[in-house]
Amino acid sequence: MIRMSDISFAYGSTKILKDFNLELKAGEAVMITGPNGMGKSTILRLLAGVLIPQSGEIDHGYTEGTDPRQKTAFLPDSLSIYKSMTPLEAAKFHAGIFGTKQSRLKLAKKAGIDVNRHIYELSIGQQVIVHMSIILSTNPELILIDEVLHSVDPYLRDILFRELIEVMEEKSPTVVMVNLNFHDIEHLADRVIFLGRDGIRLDESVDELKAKTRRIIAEEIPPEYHVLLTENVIGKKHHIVYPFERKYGEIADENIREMDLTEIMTAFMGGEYGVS
Amino acid sequence: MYSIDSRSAVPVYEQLKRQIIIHIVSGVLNDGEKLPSIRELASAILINPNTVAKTYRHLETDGFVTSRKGLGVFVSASGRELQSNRTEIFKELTDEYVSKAAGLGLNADEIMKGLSERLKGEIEHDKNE
Repeated sequence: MIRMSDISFAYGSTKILKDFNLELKAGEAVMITGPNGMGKSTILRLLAGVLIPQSGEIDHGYTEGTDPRQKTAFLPDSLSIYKSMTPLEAAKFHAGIFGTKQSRLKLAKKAGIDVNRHIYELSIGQQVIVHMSIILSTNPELILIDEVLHSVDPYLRDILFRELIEVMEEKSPTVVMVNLNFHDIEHLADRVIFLGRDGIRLDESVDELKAKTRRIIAEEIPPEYHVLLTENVIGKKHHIVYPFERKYGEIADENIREMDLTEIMTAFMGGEYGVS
Repeated sequence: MYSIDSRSAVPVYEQLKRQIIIHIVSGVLNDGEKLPSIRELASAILINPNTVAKTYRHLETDGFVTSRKGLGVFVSASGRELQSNRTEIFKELTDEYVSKAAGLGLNADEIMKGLSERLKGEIEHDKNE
């Protein structure tokens, strides 16, 4: 169990997190999403130990004196480090700094990347793969992945996710990913957290969330429903309702639709922006 | 292979469980056959390995598979179970069909008529055999 308690963090005078609390169970896979500038990446950096909170505490549950960075695989949103090195040199360097096992760059090789070329010569997608290849082979207990996967092409993404799934199956690490796009990874997450202006707006298991959210197509819907967002789709009114319960009023079955995670998160996002 | 409907509100472990049961009941998977390992299946369809593990646990509790330590998970359906499961799945399919047809605004008579028209040819075909 990892526990962030009463965390406050600001960059200069810009407050990012205030009295923020979060618990992560060992082995669970959590997606954090929400509009830009709400502190998603900051949470990852705090968990990774590369930022220190101004107040509050982060308990990784490790024995006293353990450097959390040794047990953490962190893929940040900027991949500036290591660029002047080759993947081979970077793997060695990484192992030296963090005292972890040196990566054999299995994932990078699987993706057909020449491990003797300079990292800056690789495409952004290939750089992400190299980075992932280095950090995944360190036997991490915590894997943190920021929103960088969109720059990886679908073929390499598949290879990358298969590698991640293997590590998840073998070692049961806790996984936290920041995502804006869920399409090919929504079945990797157990739990979704939506971070809005006022902190955590939603924290729920994926199964529960999908069971409780519906798109209702109707001109008017009973006021008892909590509507996240109403939108006009080709001349019809769509109301995204959460939590949905089948007890108020009469709505015909064919006007109630189930939704995928991307649609649900987009509705939360729209609600946050006050779009209607 | 198995596929997950992202838009369905049915949990992924449940969707996977249903598909495997259908494979067992319909004989796509034979008695004693080995199921893919958790890792193989999770990475083939890109789902959380914990979800596959949960599916296998539920299938084991319901008596469809047995897991043998270190060897894997194997189909273990007995004939009697097969028949009752087939009935169960048929009932679910019927419910789904009826509720979809009702969603189109059809009443019971119209649904019945549509079904018998669809099956007419096949019933005569069976008689001639």
